Amino acid sequence: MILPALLLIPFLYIILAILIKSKKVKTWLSFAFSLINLGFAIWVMAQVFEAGMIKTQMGSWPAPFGITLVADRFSAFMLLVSALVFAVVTLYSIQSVDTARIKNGYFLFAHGILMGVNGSFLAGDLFNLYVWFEVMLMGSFILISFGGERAQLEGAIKYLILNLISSFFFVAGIGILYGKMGTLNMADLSQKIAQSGDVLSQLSPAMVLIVVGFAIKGALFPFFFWLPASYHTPPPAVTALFAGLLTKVGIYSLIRIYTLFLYHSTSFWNPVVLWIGILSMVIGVFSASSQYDFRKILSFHIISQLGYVVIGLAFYTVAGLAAAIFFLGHNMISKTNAFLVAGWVHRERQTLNLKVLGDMFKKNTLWGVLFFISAFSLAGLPPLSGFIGKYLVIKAGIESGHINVALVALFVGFFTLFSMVKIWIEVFWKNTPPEVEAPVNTKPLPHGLMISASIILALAIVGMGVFAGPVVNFCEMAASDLLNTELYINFVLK
Amino acid sequence: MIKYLPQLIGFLFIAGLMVPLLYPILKAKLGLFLSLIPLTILIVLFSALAGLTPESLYLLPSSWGLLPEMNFGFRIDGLSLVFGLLISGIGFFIVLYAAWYMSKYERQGHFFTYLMLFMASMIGLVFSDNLLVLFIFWELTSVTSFLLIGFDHHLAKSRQAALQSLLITGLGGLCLLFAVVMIGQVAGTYEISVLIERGIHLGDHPKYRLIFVLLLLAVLTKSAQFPFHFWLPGAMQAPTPVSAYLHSATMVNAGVFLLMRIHPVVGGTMEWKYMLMLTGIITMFLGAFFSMGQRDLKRILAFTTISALGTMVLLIGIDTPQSMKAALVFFIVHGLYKGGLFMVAGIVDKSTGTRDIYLLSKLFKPLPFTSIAAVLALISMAGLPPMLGFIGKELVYDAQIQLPGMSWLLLPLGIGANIMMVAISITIFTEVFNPFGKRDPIKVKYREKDFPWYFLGGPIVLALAGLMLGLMPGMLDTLIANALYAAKNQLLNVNLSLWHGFNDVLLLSLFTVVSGIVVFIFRRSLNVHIGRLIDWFDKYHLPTLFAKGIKIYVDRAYKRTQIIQHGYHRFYLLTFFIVTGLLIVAQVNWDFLSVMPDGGYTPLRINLVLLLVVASLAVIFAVFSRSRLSAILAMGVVGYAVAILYLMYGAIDLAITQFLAETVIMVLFVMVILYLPKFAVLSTRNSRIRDWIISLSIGALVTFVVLHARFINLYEPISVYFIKNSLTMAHGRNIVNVILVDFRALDTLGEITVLTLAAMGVYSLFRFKVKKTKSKKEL
Repeated sequence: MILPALLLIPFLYIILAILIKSKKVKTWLSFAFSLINLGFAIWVMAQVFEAGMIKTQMGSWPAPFGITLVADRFSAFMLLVSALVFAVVTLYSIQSVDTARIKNGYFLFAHGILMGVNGSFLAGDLFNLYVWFEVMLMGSFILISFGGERAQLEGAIKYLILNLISSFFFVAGIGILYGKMGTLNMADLSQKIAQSGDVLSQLSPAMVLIVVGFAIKGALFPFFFWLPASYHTPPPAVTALFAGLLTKVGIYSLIRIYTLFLYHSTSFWNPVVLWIGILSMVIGVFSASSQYDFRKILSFHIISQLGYVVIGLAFYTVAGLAAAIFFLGHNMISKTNAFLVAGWVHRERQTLNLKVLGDMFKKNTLWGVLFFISAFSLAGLPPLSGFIGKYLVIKAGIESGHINVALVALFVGFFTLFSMVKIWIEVFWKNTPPEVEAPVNTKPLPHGLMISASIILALAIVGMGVFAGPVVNFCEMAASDLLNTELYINFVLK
Repeated sequence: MIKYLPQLIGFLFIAGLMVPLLYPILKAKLGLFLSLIPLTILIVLFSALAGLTPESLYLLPSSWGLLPEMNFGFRIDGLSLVFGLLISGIGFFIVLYAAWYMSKYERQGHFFTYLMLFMASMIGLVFSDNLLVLFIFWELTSVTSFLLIGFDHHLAKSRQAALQSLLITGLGGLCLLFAVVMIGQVAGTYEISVLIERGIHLGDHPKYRLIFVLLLLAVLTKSAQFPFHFWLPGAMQAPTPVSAYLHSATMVNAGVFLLMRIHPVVGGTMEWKYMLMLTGIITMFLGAFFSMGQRDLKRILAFTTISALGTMVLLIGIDTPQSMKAALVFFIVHGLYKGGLFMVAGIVDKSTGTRDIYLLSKLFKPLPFTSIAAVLALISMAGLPPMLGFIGKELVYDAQIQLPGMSWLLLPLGIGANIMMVAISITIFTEVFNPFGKRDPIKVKYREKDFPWYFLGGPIVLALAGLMLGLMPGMLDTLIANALYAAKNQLLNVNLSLWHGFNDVLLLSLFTVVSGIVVFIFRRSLNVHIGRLIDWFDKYHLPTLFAKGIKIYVDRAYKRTQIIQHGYHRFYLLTFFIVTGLLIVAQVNWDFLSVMPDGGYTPLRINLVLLLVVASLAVIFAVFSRSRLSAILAMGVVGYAVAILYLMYGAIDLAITQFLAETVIMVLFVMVILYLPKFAVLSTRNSRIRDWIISLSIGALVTFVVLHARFINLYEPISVYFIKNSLTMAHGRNIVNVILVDFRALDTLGEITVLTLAAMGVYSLFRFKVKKTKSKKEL
């Protein structure tokens, strides 16, 4: 019964935040709720660790008829990492986000996102998944648009419309699928698809719609446009939250339906997914290295790094999926932390343009170290989490015979290194260009909570690298569960 | 004692990380304190020498690692000892040297952090028994050397050099990772000891070429071999202690080490021999050649390092027992004299304020001990007796002569390089130290007595070590024999001595020295020609080309990005729909008959038709409308029409939800639209036609797909269950209601949340005024 709690905690906060007026109470309550959420995520993880999978049939209606919440190892892993990221970003936001936004319900909408994210990771029902996508979209749209400066609104509208298209595709796909299969429960669907045999091809339009829906959410090539168009506009804390959670839900869902539905027609889907992954990796990294805005570089990199996850999925072996899962977790943490540092730079200098920044390492060594850890983790250098992720993907590629794909991933890593070092050199090492007016207020702004938040994530990055053994072990178990579709079907339906 | 080596390496890492805490306590004594750690390691390694036999191998397995296959097991054999002794020994003097050299620097603490981490990574690299762990240390040396080279990061030059070195060695690192994973895949293990024990050699494996090329790239980039050599002269932007360390025992020598380490597994093939000999001899010659035309003492030394590395790669490529022995001895020789000479360059720089050899003169007087050390090191560099360098060079010649078939190419270039080395050594001596020179002595800021002992000690001790080993080379026999056993996996008798009797090699040596002196005498006219050649080469100046390459890459990428992420919303939508359409078209079952239901279509109802007409008119109005607001209102009509449709089928709750959602969405849209520019028709006729075609075909496709789906019910829908159980189990007559609040109540909860968020969002958007003043700056 602990699974519904993960939905109720953010829901409760939303209700409380509407009722409570005091800004201070709302703020600290938000942090408290994010910690409770983290606690429950740990609890779920502990239970899943023992049992492998846990489920709740909502309203006690038996499986294909009611809505099932399921947490297998993959879900539990994603829940835990996202709960950590959420708690840390909440802590960071307390200091980083302006009062006006907090007064107008910043934390309320953030908890809306959390509810959507938790729901998506737990949903065992395709339509229910759609509902959680909507919750997430609504929360995120308001966060990205409100308090708007002009550029922000322009980004917001692109974000909204392109994501609505995603929802439209997704729900259309669900409709068609329901018309044919008469069921929405994912395990039931998977079972029935497996039995369908020769009429399988009739399902493909629905599958295309759903996959494209997820690919838009996951910002994969060629559906990523909304991400670089909007991520650099809202306050940095919002970007950090989005970078950590949103696209990952799309990728999570893609992995979920691939292992439940799409694996029946690999001859079509495998090359499609593989190429989506390769092109996302390559185009993301090329675009990133051409940018001169701290956040834009990082945003384009999200696309590139999700490409790694997708090729891991396309390898479709235990090693490949384990690599994909590990990489997802690593990326959520490292990327969020990089954005947290960007937020500090923005706070100090009111700009994120690399050409006018400089001297930040001199200004605060610790923030520099924190960025160094995140950036070099993203670039895949040992002993940080990114290295393990890269190693796992490359190893899985070589083992499954995709040597050329693995080589592409390798050289994408090289260009990633280039753009991360570019940020490091331009923002932290370089002197502020003389023609730029030096910032007058030399007194550092308070950043105690912000830096603590970032330190927590940096420790997680190092921990996931240095003590990768158990994590990878867990990811491998999660991956073999995913490949064993029967296991999931039997567990949910019986 | 040697079994504590892993702990010591770990301690070195921790010490590096603790520097920020130690620095405020120790201040200027920090360097002296830290030097105790490499000293301890040196002593521990010496203790391992005591029981050394040519075959002995000491393994320190470990169960801890990042992953099970990356366990930090260490191996102590002759090869790792040769490298380890030099790294820790020279490291000890470097830390002492840096303690004074860096004392004027603001961020001394950072420097020592980087240096300690670098040293720890380097020692870890040579002792690790696991190829993946070796890779981890390899990458760490790249990162820490990046930090060291860019230490003076307020200088654009330093940043450029640091970036260059990181990118080039990083590229090699990636290649190494790939090669290592492939080796692990093919051989089934990453443990070097297991690989050697099982006698695995990949020469005949179909993937050998790929593995070898990747390994080669790793070595060439790290060891600054042609055509990747250019990062090394740039790297002298680092503070001098760093240059001294990078060049003598660490970093660039890691590539040489890797070649020897991996030799039993991939070495000895035709690819191995020819590729290494070729790059080695080219690098050896070019390095020596370029060093002739330089004025900056550090720069001269940097190019001679490139030449020396080329020599070692060449020797490993020749791949005879004799050449391997020569490579090992040469590594020791080079480490000793190069470390000393760089430290001398730093002392000279501190003392006079310049490193230009044509400005410096007669330094023997103010810096007597330093000069003696420099002279000994220069003798070693020139390969003259009685220094160890002489033995090294003799072995090199011997190896080159013994090579059948290729010596016609290797000997002339090798001798040529050595002649230039002799000339360079003499030049440095006469210009900088010679007390009997013609030029006036340079003004010195500091004399030797102004420096502390630990600043001067390094070069002197290293020079004396070179001298001692030259006089008693037998001391090295067992160590070299063991190292050879590790590298070649065969037992050889090693006998080093100064005097080999009269033979070809000695004649070649004599010839080299005489020619070197001749070159020295005619150096001025020669330098003119060399200078001209260098100018010509400068057109293809690799660092500039590298920077240019990066710039071209960034510009190109920028243009590409502009094409992809163009900012036109309509084309984004276009892409989405076209790609989705194509994916569906590629898969759909084009059987039009399947669209027809078995029992024909159900008859239409008049009110339904009316509703459809209204909705369709609204759509058409929205398409042709010239105002955004009315278009949105028209779309709202469509939404309400759908709601009425629900009503007509009896789903009241659903209809209400639809009404509400539609309203909120419209409000949100209107709010965003307020901030958009005025509506204008910008599209051309052609683009309109294109849009028409695309939207109509997408519409047709969706219709087809939907019709397709509607009439194939493969399984009994779950709604049958709802109908059956609505009253009996859920106690409700309105099935839609029961579905909404009972069977699928969670969906409803989610939708309620969406509504709540939307309502709060609308409220906030109204209350939260847009700040116009700030936005201008962003744009």
